[in-house]
Amino acid sequence: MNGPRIRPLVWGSWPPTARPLETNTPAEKEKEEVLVEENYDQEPAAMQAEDRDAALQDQAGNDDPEENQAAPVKVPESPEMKSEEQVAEAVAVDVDSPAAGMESEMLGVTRPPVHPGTPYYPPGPPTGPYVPPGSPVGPHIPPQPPTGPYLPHMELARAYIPVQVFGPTYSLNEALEKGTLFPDLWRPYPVK
Amino acid sequence: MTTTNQAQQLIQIQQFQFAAVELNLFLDTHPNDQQVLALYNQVHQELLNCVRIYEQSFGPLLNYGYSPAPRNYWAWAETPWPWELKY
Repeated sequence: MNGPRIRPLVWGSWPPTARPLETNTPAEKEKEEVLVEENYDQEPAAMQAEDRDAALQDQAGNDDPEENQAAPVKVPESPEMKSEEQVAEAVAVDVDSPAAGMESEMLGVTRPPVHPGTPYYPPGPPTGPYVPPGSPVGPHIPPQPPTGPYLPHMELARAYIPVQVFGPTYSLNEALEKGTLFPDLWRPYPVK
Repeated sequence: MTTTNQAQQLIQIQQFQFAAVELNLFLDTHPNDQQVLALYNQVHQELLNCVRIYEQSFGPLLNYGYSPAPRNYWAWAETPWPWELKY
C-alpha cells in the first residue's frame, strides 16, 4: 500500500481534560439517591399546605362566627378532591377579613401577607411539553383549555374581522392619492 | 417628448400598478369573485400597454431582465434616474 498513512484516532486520549463519566463511588451514589427521594417527599407537603390554605379561606367565607367554630375544617388530601365550587369560593373570599384572620389564629396557621384587594388564584394544572397526536415519542397530551396558570376559568381574547364586500371604487388618480382603491378602507389620520 | 410627458406617463403607470396591487389583495381573500377578477385583468392589460408605450418612448422601465431592449444599444444607463425626473 502506497497511499497516505492515516493515523488512527484514539478517543480515550482526547480531549485531554475530559472528565470520566463514572467517578462516584457506590457510597456516593447511594447518598445521591437518598437526596432525590427526600426532594420528592417535599413536593407533596407543599401542595398539602396550599390545600389547607384554600380550605381555611373557604371556611372564612361564612358570616356567622358561631357556625364557623362549630363546623369542622375540611382539609382535602389531594388537589383532585377540590371541586370547582370550592375553588370559586376560595377566589371570592376576602383573605384580609376579620373572620379569616381569627380563623388563622385559632388554628395557629400563618399565611403570607397578601396585598388588599388581591384575589386568590389557586395553582393551575401542571404544564408539560406538548406532543402532537400520532407522535412516535412520548404519550399524547390533549390540547389544554386556553387558560393560564394565574387566570383559571377565563378565556383568552379573540380577534375577528368582517368580510370585505366589493362595491364602488375610487378612480385611479384618487386611489393613488388616498392610498386605497376601496372607499370603505379609507382611514385618514386626523389633521392636527 | 418632454420630461413632463414622461412624468405623466410614469404617474399613469403608478396608478395602474397601485390599482393592480389593491385588486390583487382583494382577490387573495375573494378568489372566486368574477367581477373583481375581470376588473383586475382589465387593469393588468392597461398597465402592460402603458409600460410598453413608455418603454418605446423613454427606454426600459426596469432592469435585470424585466424590460426588453428594442433598440440596437443598451439604453438602461442612458435614461434619467428616478430622482432626476421632475413631477
